[in-house]
Amino acid sequence: MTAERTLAVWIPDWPIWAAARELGLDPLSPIALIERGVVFACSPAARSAGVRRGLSQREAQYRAPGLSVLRYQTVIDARRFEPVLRALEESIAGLQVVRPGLAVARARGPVRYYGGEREAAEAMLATCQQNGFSDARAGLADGIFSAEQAARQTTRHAPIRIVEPAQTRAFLAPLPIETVAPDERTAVLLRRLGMNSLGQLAELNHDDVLRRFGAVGAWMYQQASGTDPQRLVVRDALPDFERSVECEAPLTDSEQIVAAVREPVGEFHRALHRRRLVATVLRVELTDDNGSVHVRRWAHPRWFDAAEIVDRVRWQLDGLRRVIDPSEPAGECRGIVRVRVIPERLEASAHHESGLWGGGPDEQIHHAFSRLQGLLGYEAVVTPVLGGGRGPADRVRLVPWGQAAPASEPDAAPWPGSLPGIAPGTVYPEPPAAELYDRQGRPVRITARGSWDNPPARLHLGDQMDSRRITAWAGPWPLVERWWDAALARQGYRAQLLDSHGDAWLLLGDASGWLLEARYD
Amino acid sequence: MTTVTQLRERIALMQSATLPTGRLPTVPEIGALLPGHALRQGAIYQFDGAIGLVARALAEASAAGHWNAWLGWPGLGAEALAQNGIRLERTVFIAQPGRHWWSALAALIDAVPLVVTRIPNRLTIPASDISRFAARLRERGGVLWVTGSWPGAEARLRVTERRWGGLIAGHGNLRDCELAVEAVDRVGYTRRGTVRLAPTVDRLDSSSILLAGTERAALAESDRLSA
Repeated sequence: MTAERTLAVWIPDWPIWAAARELGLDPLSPIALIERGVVFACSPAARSAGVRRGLSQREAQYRAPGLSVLRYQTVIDARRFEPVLRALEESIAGLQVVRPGLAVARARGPVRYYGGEREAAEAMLATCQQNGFSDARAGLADGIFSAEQAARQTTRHAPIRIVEPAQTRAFLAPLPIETVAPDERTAVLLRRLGMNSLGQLAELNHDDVLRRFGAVGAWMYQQASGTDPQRLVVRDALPDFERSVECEAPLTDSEQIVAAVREPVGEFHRALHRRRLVATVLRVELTDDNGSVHVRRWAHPRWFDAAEIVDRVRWQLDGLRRVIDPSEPAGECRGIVRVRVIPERLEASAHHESGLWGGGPDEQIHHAFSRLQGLLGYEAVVTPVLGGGRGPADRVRLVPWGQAAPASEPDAAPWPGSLPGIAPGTVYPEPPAAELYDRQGRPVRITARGSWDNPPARLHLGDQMDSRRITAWAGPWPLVERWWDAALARQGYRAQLLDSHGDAWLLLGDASGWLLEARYD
Repeated sequence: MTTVTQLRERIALMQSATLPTGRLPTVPEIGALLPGHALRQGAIYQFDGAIGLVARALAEASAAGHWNAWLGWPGLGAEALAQNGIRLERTVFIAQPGRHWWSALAALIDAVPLVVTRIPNRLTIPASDISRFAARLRERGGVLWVTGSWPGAEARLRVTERRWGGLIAGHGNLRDCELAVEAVDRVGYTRRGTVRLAPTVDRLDSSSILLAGTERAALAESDRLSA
């Protein structure tokens, strides 16, 4: 199967361009972006001074003293690429972003329109240049992968590379194996197996590669042999659905703001409806009079109707109430001057129509929980999600109903120090104090070696003056968490106790005494 | 005429098969404690606050895809619920309804089939409200578990003894628990039984965790590639 002719537009050193634009720097001056202490990307000027990717920040500054060192932020990359895409979309249809800095499109249309492959590529580069990107490159080949590689083979003086349809395989063959390996380990392994170039990989039998490397192998093989089955998924140029409301004077009362927002939101919803679209993820931006923007993303298990969008704005305002304080002269801000509602994910409404017999039971559930949120507040109705952690309270995240759950962290990490066995039924949000005494009635302490000075024999529960005999116990288990961060560091001991009433407890102790962390019931 | 009778018989047969049974499944050891050996839809069960016991009672229904809501339990241990078989993706906590407890409960039973709640301290519900509520619950087919005194409960469950396993003076850790439960039904008949609470997967078993981890990574990888 041959892949489609694909046109790739690539802006080399995109992170540098994006950061330079964000901060108003000259992209041609020496700049380095740092991620986790090492250089993530550097500008050509920095590169000629000897700065390389992977170098430590100190070493980079030593090699190029005039270097501007910035922190790398993926958000800027994506945000700054958006205007470029918009400009490109005026001259080419159906763009797909591979990553910020690299976009691909089906070549057939533009080639016919501009009267040739080279002409189409030149038109793209001209658009980039008009937007101030003097060093854009274009590649044209079969399939996304080949087109990207073609674009990467260009130079500043010959910014276009076109690979003829029949020669894709020959073009790819001499490229180093790292271009296709998904990670360092696979690359090293392939090199050890004697495969240094894509050509050598492509010469193998497809089934052999599949057997040895699985799905990853099959994918690498397809890329290397230029039979990339990956189809272009076009990015639709959507009309602007975003709505914003400007207030003449800063508003503080959430009811006033909600009233002002209601009409534009209704219109927003009708505009979507006319296009047979529904919003399932929204972004609400509130700008205060100091110019700070409070952003929150809202997801909906079904889709938003107008009243629900208004509710989200209201909830977000309620969350800000602490920040907005008109009485305080030195307060953070005096009110909200602008509300923006931006759809982040739109879906065809046909996928969301309720069936002939009305929505399923889940819709009822959703309405009930939303009503309760209206009654009790947004954060009163939560869904628990298990995650990683040592203490019983750390292992659970509570996600407000309707908010996108955090990317689930698989509980595969071993979390040394977490308690195995049965989990406690009640984890006290505010742990009450408890006291431990030994047989002679002396308070039990933890020795410097991390064991009891005398085994605990009695447990006093603070608030009820309730004294119980301890029948079994285990611990103390030392707990040292986040010692590298003074504000969050935690040091202490955990112990499990069983009392004469048959109740089991988890205690958390430190120098100041013992707390009842949880109860097993 | 005979055809009509035959058809009627067939219709009756088909209807009886599709009529709702009015019962939700539960694990056998809980079933043995309840009248009818299952959770009756529209019934109210009273219990003494043992979270693990209720979690076991609702586990089967939760696994069958029914939603469950916990109203008025601050600091509820979600992990304990998961260990006892509750599916957390269909679980909702409303920890502090405050003075809206009653209206929140009424809103919940309208939509959620399994509700667990605790009557706030010093609150007495008027008898007229109780009977209206019970009728509503029957109509919606929900099951309510409540801590605190509720007149007309289908059964009252009480943990008489807890036998903990795994903890010896100074060693080990709490591994499982056996609850001795006493259930008194409407007519005063008492049933006794034991319910064992134990984590289904012991987190100590690191080999299974590692395997699960690599499997998950492999799955994620193939997803990434096919995307």
